[in-house]
Amino acid sequence: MKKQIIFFTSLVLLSILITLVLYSLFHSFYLVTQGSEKATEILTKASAYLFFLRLTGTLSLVFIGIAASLGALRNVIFSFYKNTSFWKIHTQWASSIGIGMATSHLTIYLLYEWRLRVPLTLKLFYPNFVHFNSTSNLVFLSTTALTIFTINFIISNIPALKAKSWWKPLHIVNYFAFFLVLYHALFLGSNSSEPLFQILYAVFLLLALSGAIHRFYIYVGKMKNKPPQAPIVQNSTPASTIVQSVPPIALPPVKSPSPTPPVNPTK
Amino acid sequence: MQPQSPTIQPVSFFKKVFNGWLAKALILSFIICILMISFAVGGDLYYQSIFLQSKKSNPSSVLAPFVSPSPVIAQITEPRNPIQTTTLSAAPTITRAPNVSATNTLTPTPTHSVQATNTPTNPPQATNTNSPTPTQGQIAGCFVVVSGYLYNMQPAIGNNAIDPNTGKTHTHTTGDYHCGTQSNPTDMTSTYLEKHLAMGCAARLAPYIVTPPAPADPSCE
Repeated sequence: MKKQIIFFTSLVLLSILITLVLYSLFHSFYLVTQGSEKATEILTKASAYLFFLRLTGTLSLVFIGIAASLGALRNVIFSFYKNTSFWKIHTQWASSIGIGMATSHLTIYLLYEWRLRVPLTLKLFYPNFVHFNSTSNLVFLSTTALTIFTINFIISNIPALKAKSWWKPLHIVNYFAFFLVLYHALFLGSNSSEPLFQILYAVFLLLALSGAIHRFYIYVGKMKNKPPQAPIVQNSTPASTIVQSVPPIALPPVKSPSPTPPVNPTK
Repeated sequence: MQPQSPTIQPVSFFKKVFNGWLAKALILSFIICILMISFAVGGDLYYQSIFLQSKKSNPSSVLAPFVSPSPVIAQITEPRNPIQTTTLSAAPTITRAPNVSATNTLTPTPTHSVQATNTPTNPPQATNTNSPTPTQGQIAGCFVVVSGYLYNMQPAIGNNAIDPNTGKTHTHTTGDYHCGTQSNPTDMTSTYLEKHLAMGCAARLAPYIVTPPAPADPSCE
Protein backbone atom coordinates (compact mmCIF):
# COMPACT_ATOMS: atom_id res chain seq x y z
CA MET A 1 0.00 0.00 0.00
CA LYS A 2 2.83 2.35 0.88
CA LYS A 3 4.52 1.62 -2.43
CA GLN A 4 1.32 2.37 -4.29
CA ILE A 5 0.93 5.72 -2.59
CA ILE A 6 4.52 6.65 -3.40
CA PHE A 7 4.11 5.53 -7.00
CA PHE A 8 0.89 7.38 -7.68
CA THR A 9 2.07 10.50 -5.88
CA SER A 10 5.21 10.48 -8.03
CA LEU A 11 3.07 9.97 -11.12
CA VAL A 12 0.91 12.96 -10.26
CA LEU A 13 3.95 15.12 -9.50
CA LEU A 14 5.59 14.10 -12.77
CA SER A 15 2.42 14.91 -14.69
CA ILE A 16 2.25 18.33 -13.05
CA LEU A 17 5.90 18.94 -13.87
CA ILE A 18 5.44 17.96 -17.52
CA THR A 19 2.36 20.17 -17.75
CA LEU A 20 4.29 23.12 -16.31
CA VAL A 21 7.17 22.55 -18.72
CA LEU A 22 4.81 22.49 -21.70
CA TYR A 23 2.96 25.52 -20.35
CA SER A 24 6.27 27.35 -20.08
CA LEU A 25 7.04 26.54 -23.72
CA PHE A 26 3.64 27.65 -24.95
CA HIS A 27 3.64 30.73 -22.76
CA SER A 28 6.93 31.94 -24.20
CA PHE A 29 5.50 31.40 -27.66
CA TYR A 30 2.31 33.24 -26.69
CA LEU A 31 4.37 36.23 -25.54
CA VAL A 32 6.16 36.22 -28.85
CA THR A 33 2.91 36.36 -30.75
CA GLN A 34 1.60 39.32 -28.80
CA GLY A 35 3.55 41.82 -30.83
CA SER A 36 5.22 43.70 -28.03
CA GLU A 37 8.46 45.50 -28.71
CA LYS A 38 10.49 42.68 -27.26
CA ALA A 39 8.43 40.13 -29.11
CA THR A 40 9.03 41.88 -32.40
CA GLU A 41 12.72 41.61 -31.85
CA ILE A 42 12.53 37.98 -30.90
CA LEU A 43 10.21 37.07 -33.71
CA THR A 44 12.55 36.37 -36.52
CA LYS A 45 11.85 34.47 -39.61
CA ALA A 46 12.74 31.10 -38.15
CA SER A 47 10.82 31.43 -34.92
CA ALA A 48 8.13 28.94 -35.90
CA TYR A 49 10.76 26.32 -36.57
CA LEU A 50 12.48 27.19 -33.32
CA PHE A 51 9.27 26.80 -31.36
CA PHE A 52 8.46 23.41 -32.87
CA LEU A 53 12.08 22.40 -32.47
CA ARG A 54 11.77 23.03 -28.75
CA LEU A 55 8.31 21.49 -28.50
CA THR A 56 9.21 18.25 -30.26
CA GLY A 57 12.50 18.05 -28.36
CA THR A 58 10.77 18.42 -25.02
CA LEU A 59 8.01 15.98 -25.91
CA SER A 60 10.42 13.38 -27.22
CA LEU A 61 12.41 13.65 -23.99
CA VAL A 62 9.23 13.26 -21.97
CA PHE A 63 7.93 10.22 -23.85
CA ILE A 64 11.26 8.47 -24.17
CA GLY A 65 11.87 9.28 -20.51
CA ILE A 66 8.57 7.66 -19.56
CA ALA A 67 9.39 4.58 -21.63
CA ALA A 68 12.88 4.32 -20.14
CA SER A 69 11.70 4.90 -16.57
CA LEU A 70 8.94 2.31 -16.87
CA GLY A 71 11.40 -0.17 -18.31
CA ALA A 72 13.89 0.47 -15.55
CA LEU A 73 11.39 0.35 -12.72
CA ARG A 74 9.21 -2.43 -14.04
CA ASN A 75 10.05 -4.88 -11.25
CA VAL A 76 9.21 -2.30 -8.63
CA ILE A 77 5.93 -1.43 -10.33
CA PHE A 78 4.96 -5.05 -10.94
CA SER A 79 5.48 -5.80 -7.26
CA PHE A 80 2.36 -3.87 -6.36
CA TYR A 81 0.59 -3.19 -9.65
CA LYS A 82 -0.27 -6.48 -11.28
CA ASN A 83 -2.28 -5.16 -14.19
CA THR A 84 -0.20 -5.78 -17.28
CA SER A 85 -1.97 -3.23 -19.43
CA PHE A 86 0.30 -0.46 -18.21
CA TRP A 87 3.25 -2.30 -19.72
CA LYS A 88 1.93 -1.33 -23.15
CA ILE A 89 2.91 2.24 -22.30
CA HIS A 90 6.53 1.10 -22.34
CA THR A 91 6.37 -1.26 -25.28
CA GLN A 92 3.92 0.55 -27.51
CA TRP A 93 2.64 4.03 -26.82
CA ALA A 94 5.43 5.98 -25.16
CA SER A 95 8.12 4.51 -27.37
CA SER A 96 6.13 5.07 -30.59
CA ILE A 97 5.26 8.66 -29.75
CA GLY A 98 8.76 9.35 -28.42
CA ILE A 99 10.43 8.09 -31.57
CA GLY A 100 7.96 10.00 -33.73
CA MET A 101 8.71 13.19 -31.82
CA ALA A 102 12.46 12.62 -31.97
CA THR A 103 12.36 12.03 -35.71
CA SER A 104 10.34 15.19 -36.26
CA HIS A 105 12.75 17.02 -33.92
CA LEU A 106 15.65 16.04 -36.15
CA THR A 107 13.78 16.96 -39.34
CA ILE A 108 12.69 20.33 -37.97
CA TYR A 109 16.29 21.00 -36.90
CA LEU A 110 17.40 20.48 -40.48
CA LEU A 111 14.57 22.68 -41.75
CA TYR A 112 15.53 25.33 -39.20
CA GLU A 113 19.14 25.34 -40.33
CA TRP A 114 18.04 25.44 -43.94
CA ARG A 115 15.77 28.41 -43.19
CA LEU A 116 18.71 30.24 -41.65
CA ARG A 117 20.71 29.45 -44.77
CA VAL A 118 23.19 27.30 -42.95
CA PRO A 119 24.47 24.76 -45.46
CA LEU A 120 23.11 21.31 -44.78
CA THR A 121 26.29 19.32 -44.72
CA LEU A 122 27.64 16.53 -42.60
CA LYS A 123 29.46 19.19 -40.60
CA LEU A 124 26.26 19.57 -38.62
CA PHE A 125 26.77 16.04 -37.32
CA TYR A 126 30.54 15.65 -37.14
CA PRO A 127 31.96 14.79 -33.74
CA ASN A 128 34.18 17.59 -32.51
CA PHE A 129 36.98 16.28 -30.32
CA VAL A 130 38.27 19.72 -29.34
CA HIS A 131 35.10 21.27 -28.02
CA PHE A 132 33.13 18.51 -26.45
CA ASN A 133 30.01 20.56 -25.94
CA SER A 134 29.87 21.88 -29.45
CA THR A 135 26.55 21.52 -31.18
CA SER A 136 27.80 19.08 -33.76
CA ASN A 137 28.87 16.77 -30.94
CA LEU A 138 25.58 17.08 -29.17
CA VAL A 139 23.66 16.52 -32.38
CA PHE A 140 25.87 13.53 -33.18
CA LEU A 141 25.16 12.02 -29.76
CA SER A 142 21.43 12.49 -30.07
CA THR A 143 21.40 11.06 -33.58
CA THR A 144 23.25 8.04 -32.24
CA ALA A 145 20.65 7.73 -29.51
CA LEU A 146 17.80 7.98 -32.00
CA THR A 147 19.37 5.25 -34.11
CA ILE A 148 19.67 2.99 -31.07
CA PHE A 149 16.08 3.67 -30.08
CA THR A 150 14.76 3.03 -33.57
CA ILE A 151 16.67 -0.21 -34.06
CA ASN A 152 15.51 -1.46 -30.68
CA PHE A 153 11.98 -0.33 -31.35
CA ILE A 154 11.78 -2.26 -34.61
CA ILE A 155 13.52 -5.37 -33.32
CA SER A 156 11.41 -5.48 -30.17
CA ASN A 157 8.26 -5.59 -32.27
CA ILE A 158 9.42 -8.56 -34.33
CA PRO A 159 8.85 -11.68 -32.22
CA ALA A 160 11.32 -13.82 -34.17
CA LEU A 161 14.13 -11.36 -33.50
CA LYS A 162 13.07 -10.64 -29.96
CA ALA A 163 13.55 -14.28 -29.07
CA LYS A 164 17.23 -14.11 -29.96
CA SER A 165 19.80 -14.21 -27.20
CA TRP A 166 21.34 -10.90 -28.25
CA TRP A 167 18.09 -9.02 -27.92
CA LYS A 168 18.42 -8.27 -24.21
CA PRO A 169 21.95 -6.80 -24.28
CA LEU A 170 20.91 -4.75 -27.28
CA HIS A 171 17.81 -3.56 -25.47
CA ILE A 172 19.84 -2.49 -22.44
CA VAL A 173 21.81 -0.14 -24.69
CA ASN A 174 18.63 1.96 -24.66
CA TYR A 175 19.60 3.20 -21.19
CA PHE A 176 22.92 4.40 -22.50
CA ALA A 177 21.09 6.14 -25.36
CA PHE A 178 18.73 7.77 -22.90
CA PHE A 179 21.62 9.23 -20.94
CA LEU A 180 23.00 10.58 -24.21
CA VAL A 181 19.65 12.24 -24.82
CA LEU A 182 19.73 13.79 -21.37
CA TYR A 183 23.24 15.10 -22.03
CA HIS A 184 22.06 16.52 -25.36
CA ALA A 185 19.06 18.17 -23.71
CA LEU A 186 21.04 19.67 -20.87
CA PHE A 187 23.72 21.29 -22.98
CA LEU A 188 21.79 22.07 -26.14
CA GLY A 189 18.27 22.70 -24.90
CA SER A 190 17.32 26.32 -25.35
CA ASN A 191 15.35 26.30 -22.13
CA SER A 192 17.72 24.16 -20.12
CA SER A 193 18.73 27.11 -17.98
CA GLU A 194 15.21 27.30 -16.59
CA PRO A 195 14.79 25.53 -13.24
CA LEU A 196 11.61 23.82 -14.41
CA PHE A 197 13.43 22.04 -17.19
CA GLN A 198 16.36 21.21 -14.94
CA ILE A 199 13.98 19.56 -12.49
CA LEU A 200 12.50 17.53 -15.35
CA TYR A 201 15.96 16.37 -16.44
CA ALA A 202 16.87 15.52 -12.86
CA VAL A 203 13.67 13.52 -12.33
CA PHE A 204 14.19 11.45 -15.46
CA LEU A 205 17.85 10.97 -14.67
CA LEU A 206 16.97 9.80 -11.18
CA LEU A 207 14.23 7.44 -12.39
CA ALA A 208 16.26 5.84 -15.16
CA LEU A 209 19.47 5.68 -13.14
CA SER A 210 17.88 4.22 -10.04
CA GLY A 211 16.00 1.66 -12.09
CA ALA A 212 19.09 0.71 -14.05
CA ILE A 213 21.16 0.29 -10.87
CA HIS A 214 18.36 -1.71 -9.26
CA ARG A 215 18.20 -4.07 -12.22
CA PHE A 216 21.96 -4.34 -12.35
CA TYR A 217 22.05 -5.52 -8.73
CA ILE A 218 19.30 -8.04 -9.43
CA TYR A 219 21.31 -9.33 -12.37
CA VAL A 220 24.49 -9.57 -10.28
CA GLY A 221 22.57 -11.39 -7.54
CA LYS A 222 21.21 -13.87 -10.07
CA MET A 223 24.68 -14.49 -11.43
CA LYS A 224 26.07 -15.12 -7.94
CA ASN A 225 23.33 -17.56 -7.00
CA LYS A 226 23.45 -19.39 -10.27
CA PRO A 227 24.61 -23.02 -9.86
CA PRO A 228 27.63 -23.85 -12.00
CA GLN A 229 26.09 -26.61 -14.14
CA ALA A 230 22.50 -25.64 -13.92
CA PRO A 231 20.48 -26.16 -17.05
CA ILE A 232 19.33 -23.05 -18.77
CA VAL A 233 15.81 -22.47 -17.64
CA GLN A 234 13.85 -19.32 -18.08
CA ASN A 235 13.42 -18.55 -14.43
CA SER A 236 10.46 -16.36 -14.79
CA THR A 237 9.14 -14.26 -12.04
CA PRO A 238 5.65 -12.90 -12.52
CA ALA A 239 7.22 -9.66 -13.64
CA SER A 240 9.51 -11.04 -16.25
CA THR A 241 6.96 -13.35 -17.76
CA ILE A 242 4.81 -10.45 -18.70
CA VAL A 243 7.74 -8.48 -19.83
CA GLN A 244 7.13 -7.61 -23.41
CA SER A 245 4.11 -7.11 -25.53
CA VAL A 246 2.41 -10.34 -24.60
CA PRO A 247 -1.18 -9.37 -24.39
CA PRO A 248 -2.95 -10.49 -21.25
CA ILE A 249 -5.06 -13.53 -21.96
CA ALA A 250 -8.69 -12.77 -21.67
CA LEU A 251 -10.03 -15.45 -19.40
CA PRO A 252 -13.61 -16.51 -19.84
CA PRO A 253 -15.88 -15.10 -17.22
CA VAL A 254 -16.37 -17.35 -14.23
CA LYS A 255 -19.71 -18.98 -14.32
CA SER A 256 -21.97 -17.87 -11.62
CA PRO A 257 -23.51 -20.62 -9.53
CA SER A 258 -26.51 -22.05 -11.14
CA PRO A 259 -29.70 -20.69 -9.76
CA THR A 260 -31.28 -24.11 -10.04
CA PRO A 261 -31.18 -26.14 -6.85
CA PRO A 262 -28.63 -28.92 -6.73
CA VAL A 263 -29.77 -32.23 -7.92
CA ASN A 264 -30.46 -34.65 -5.23
CA PRO A 265 -28.07 -37.58 -5.72
CA THR A 266 -30.37 -39.93 -4.04
CA LYS A 267 -32.91 -39.59 -6.78
CA MET B 1 -15.51 -38.88 -50.20
CA GLN B 2 -12.40 -37.54 -48.62
CA PRO B 3 -12.53 -34.22 -46.81
CA GLN B 4 -10.37 -31.63 -48.50
CA SER B 5 -7.65 -30.21 -46.35
CA PRO B 6 -7.58 -26.41 -46.30
CA THR B 7 -4.88 -24.99 -48.52
CA ILE B 8 -2.20 -23.20 -46.53
CA GLN B 9 -1.34 -19.88 -48.03
CA PRO B 10 2.37 -19.09 -47.65
CA VAL B 11 2.79 -15.95 -45.57
CA SER B 12 5.51 -13.68 -46.72
CA PHE B 13 8.18 -12.43 -44.35
CA PHE B 14 6.99 -8.86 -44.86
CA LYS B 15 3.49 -9.75 -43.75
CA LYS B 16 4.80 -11.69 -40.79
CA VAL B 17 6.87 -8.77 -39.59
CA PHE B 18 4.38 -6.03 -40.19
CA ASN B 19 1.34 -7.90 -38.99
CA GLY B 20 1.70 -7.05 -35.35
CA TRP B 21 2.13 -3.87 -33.43
CA LEU B 22 5.14 -2.83 -35.49
CA ALA B 23 3.02 -1.62 -38.38
CA LYS B 24 0.74 0.35 -36.08
CA ALA B 25 3.69 1.79 -34.18
CA LEU B 26 5.46 2.87 -37.32
CA ILE B 27 2.29 4.43 -38.68
CA LEU B 28 1.74 6.24 -35.38
CA SER B 29 5.30 7.56 -35.36
CA PHE B 30 5.00 8.60 -38.97
CA ILE B 31 1.73 10.44 -38.38
CA ILE B 32 3.21 12.30 -35.41
CA CYS B 33 6.28 13.19 -37.43
CA ILE B 34 4.25 14.47 -40.38
CA LEU B 35 1.92 16.44 -38.10
CA MET B 36 4.74 18.20 -36.28
CA ILE B 37 6.65 19.01 -39.45
CA SER B 38 3.48 20.31 -41.09
CA PHE B 39 2.75 22.55 -38.11
CA ALA B 40 6.29 23.88 -38.16
CA VAL B 41 6.27 24.60 -41.89
CA GLY B 42 2.75 26.04 -41.69
CA GLY B 43 3.70 28.27 -38.77
CA ASP B 44 6.75 29.44 -40.63
CA LEU B 45 4.69 30.34 -43.71
CA TYR B 46 2.13 32.09 -41.51
CA TYR B 47 4.72 34.29 -39.83
CA GLN B 48 6.39 34.96 -43.10
CA SER B 49 3.12 36.37 -44.40
CA ILE B 50 2.78 38.52 -41.27
CA PHE B 51 6.25 39.93 -41.79
CA LEU B 52 5.57 40.69 -45.40
CA GLN B 53 2.40 42.56 -44.45
CA SER B 54 4.10 44.57 -41.74
CA LYS B 55 6.95 45.34 -44.08
CA LYS B 56 4.52 46.77 -46.61
CA SER B 57 2.55 48.81 -44.11
CA ASN B 58 5.44 50.17 -42.07
CA PRO B 59 8.85 49.50 -43.56
CA SER B 60 10.77 51.28 -40.80
CA SER B 61 9.38 48.90 -38.20
CA VAL B 62 10.75 45.89 -39.98
CA LEU B 63 13.96 44.81 -38.46
CA ALA B 64 17.15 43.95 -40.19
CA PRO B 65 16.81 40.21 -40.20
CA PHE B 66 14.08 40.37 -42.77
CA VAL B 67 16.35 41.98 -45.26
CA SER B 68 19.02 39.68 -46.45
CA PRO B 69 21.84 40.44 -46.32
CA SER B 70 21.30 42.74 -43.43
CA PRO B 71 22.04 46.45 -43.91
CA VAL B 72 23.85 46.30 -40.60
CA ILE B 73 26.54 44.29 -42.30
CA ALA B 74 26.88 47.08 -44.77
CA GLN B 75 27.36 49.47 -41.88
CA ILE B 76 30.06 47.33 -40.41
CA THR B 77 31.96 46.92 -43.59
CA GLU B 78 31.49 50.45 -44.77
CA PRO B 79 35.08 51.62 -45.43
CA ARG B 80 34.23 55.26 -44.73
CA ASN B 81 33.35 54.45 -41.20
CA PRO B 82 36.59 55.05 -39.30
CA ILE B 83 35.56 52.75 -36.52
CA GLN B 84 35.36 49.75 -38.75
CA THR B 85 38.45 50.25 -40.85
CA THR B 86 40.60 47.97 -38.77
CA THR B 87 39.88 44.79 -36.99
CA LEU B 88 41.64 42.69 -34.43
CA SER B 89 43.97 40.07 -35.76
CA ALA B 90 42.02 37.21 -34.27
CA ALA B 91 38.74 38.60 -35.41
CA PRO B 92 37.02 37.06 -38.36
CA THR B 93 36.97 39.00 -41.54
CA ILE B 94 33.59 40.23 -42.54
CA THR B 95 33.17 40.58 -46.22
CA ARG B 96 30.55 42.80 -47.63
CA ALA B 97 28.08 41.11 -49.85
CA PRO B 98 27.83 42.56 -53.35
CA ASN B 99 24.98 44.90 -54.23
CA VAL B 100 24.33 45.80 -50.66
CA SER B 101 23.16 49.25 -50.02
CA ALA B 102 24.81 51.05 -47.15
CA THR B 103 21.66 52.93 -46.38
CA ASN B 104 20.49 52.26 -42.91
CA THR B 105 16.79 51.92 -42.39
CA LEU B 106 16.97 50.83 -38.83
CA THR B 107 15.85 52.62 -35.77
CA PRO B 108 17.40 50.66 -32.94
CA THR B 109 16.02 51.05 -29.49
CA PRO B 110 18.64 49.76 -27.12
CA THR B 111 17.51 48.80 -23.72
CA HIS B 112 20.99 48.42 -22.32
CA SER B 113 23.07 51.17 -20.87
CA VAL B 114 24.70 51.89 -24.19
CA GLN B 115 22.92 54.59 -26.09
CA ALA B 116 22.93 54.73 -29.83
CA THR B 117 21.83 57.35 -32.24
CA ASN B 118 20.99 55.87 -35.56
CA THR B 119 19.03 57.78 -38.12
CA PRO B 120 17.58 56.24 -41.22
CA THR B 121 19.47 58.42 -43.65
CA ASN B 122 22.91 58.74 -42.12
CA PRO B 123 25.58 56.20 -41.34
CA PRO B 124 25.36 55.03 -37.75
CA GLN B 125 26.67 57.52 -35.30
CA ALA B 126 26.81 55.63 -32.11
CA THR B 127 27.63 57.31 -28.89
CA ASN B 128 28.49 55.50 -25.76
CA THR B 129 27.92 57.32 -22.54
CA ASN B 130 29.76 54.76 -20.52
CA SER B 131 32.98 54.49 -22.41
CA PRO B 132 33.82 57.34 -24.71
CA THR B 133 36.43 55.55 -26.78
CA PRO B 134 35.04 52.90 -29.04
CA THR B 135 37.20 49.84 -29.33
CA GLN B 136 37.88 47.96 -32.47
CA GLY B 137 36.85 44.46 -33.20
CA GLN B 138 34.07 44.35 -30.71
CA ILE B 139 31.93 42.40 -33.04
CA ALA B 140 34.30 39.50 -32.95
CA GLY B 141 35.04 39.53 -29.29
CA CYS B 142 31.82 40.42 -27.67
CA PHE B 143 28.23 40.74 -28.63
CA VAL B 144 24.82 40.40 -27.24
CA VAL B 145 22.65 37.38 -27.37
CA VAL B 146 19.25 38.65 -28.29
CA SER B 147 16.92 35.74 -28.70
CA GLY B 148 19.07 32.74 -28.18
CA TYR B 149 19.97 32.40 -31.80
CA LEU B 150 23.63 32.86 -31.17
CA TYR B 151 23.43 29.97 -28.81
CA ASN B 152 21.54 27.87 -31.27
CA MET B 153 23.79 28.51 -34.18
CA GLN B 154 25.91 25.51 -34.77
CA PRO B 155 29.37 27.02 -35.14
CA ALA B 156 28.97 29.37 -32.24
CA ILE B 157 27.96 26.80 -29.71
CA GLY B 158 31.45 25.79 -28.71
CA ASN B 159 32.12 29.33 -27.72
CA ASN B 160 28.80 30.43 -26.58
CA ALA B 161 28.40 27.63 -24.17
CA ILE B 162 31.42 28.77 -22.17
CA ASP B 163 30.92 31.47 -19.62
CA PRO B 164 33.92 33.78 -19.85
CA ASN B 165 33.66 34.70 -16.20
CA THR B 166 33.43 31.29 -14.66
CA GLY B 167 34.70 29.07 -17.44
CA LYS B 168 31.67 26.89 -16.99
CA THR B 169 29.20 25.94 -19.63
CA HIS B 170 25.93 27.71 -19.53
CA THR B 171 23.03 28.66 -21.72
CA HIS B 172 22.84 32.21 -22.83
CA THR B 173 19.66 34.12 -22.40
CA THR B 174 18.48 37.36 -23.83
CA GLY B 175 20.81 40.18 -23.00
CA ASP B 176 23.85 38.04 -22.22
CA TYR B 177 27.15 39.06 -23.62
CA HIS B 178 28.92 36.59 -25.75
CA CYS B 179 32.63 36.63 -25.30
CA GLY B 180 34.90 33.96 -26.50
CA THR B 181 34.96 34.09 -30.22
CA GLN B 182 38.68 34.40 -30.07
CA SER B 183 39.03 31.22 -28.08
CA ASN B 184 37.85 29.34 -31.10
CA PRO B 185 38.23 31.62 -34.07
CA THR B 186 37.94 28.85 -36.58
CA ASP B 187 34.34 28.31 -35.70
CA MET B 188 33.27 31.86 -36.10
CA THR B 189 33.82 32.42 -39.74
CA SER B 190 32.68 35.50 -41.48
CA THR B 191 29.92 33.56 -43.12
CA TYR B 192 28.40 32.56 -39.87
CA LEU B 193 28.91 35.92 -38.32
CA GLU B 194 27.06 37.39 -41.23
CA LYS B 195 24.31 34.91 -40.68
CA HIS B 196 24.09 35.85 -37.05
CA LEU B 197 23.75 39.43 -37.98
CA ALA B 198 21.21 38.63 -40.62
CA MET B 199 19.08 36.88 -38.06
CA GLY B 200 17.46 38.44 -35.06
CA CYS B 201 20.46 40.03 -33.50
CA ALA B 202 21.19 42.74 -35.96
CA ALA B 203 18.94 45.46 -34.65
CA ARG B 204 20.04 44.95 -31.12
CA LEU B 205 23.63 44.61 -32.12
CA ALA B 206 23.66 47.87 -34.00
CA PRO B 207 24.63 50.00 -30.99
CA TYR B 208 27.23 47.54 -29.87
CA ILE B 209 29.15 46.87 -32.98
CA VAL B 210 30.56 50.36 -33.01
CA THR B 211 30.91 50.83 -29.30
CA PRO B 212 32.42 48.87 -26.49
CA PRO B 213 30.03 46.68 -24.62
CA ALA B 214 28.32 47.86 -21.53
CA PRO B 215 30.62 47.90 -18.52
CA ALA B 216 28.45 45.37 -16.79
CA ASP B 217 30.57 42.68 -18.37
CA PRO B 218 34.22 43.44 -17.62
CA SER B 219 35.44 40.28 -19.29
CA CYS B 220 34.60 41.79 -22.64
CA GLU B 221 37.12 44.53 -22.33
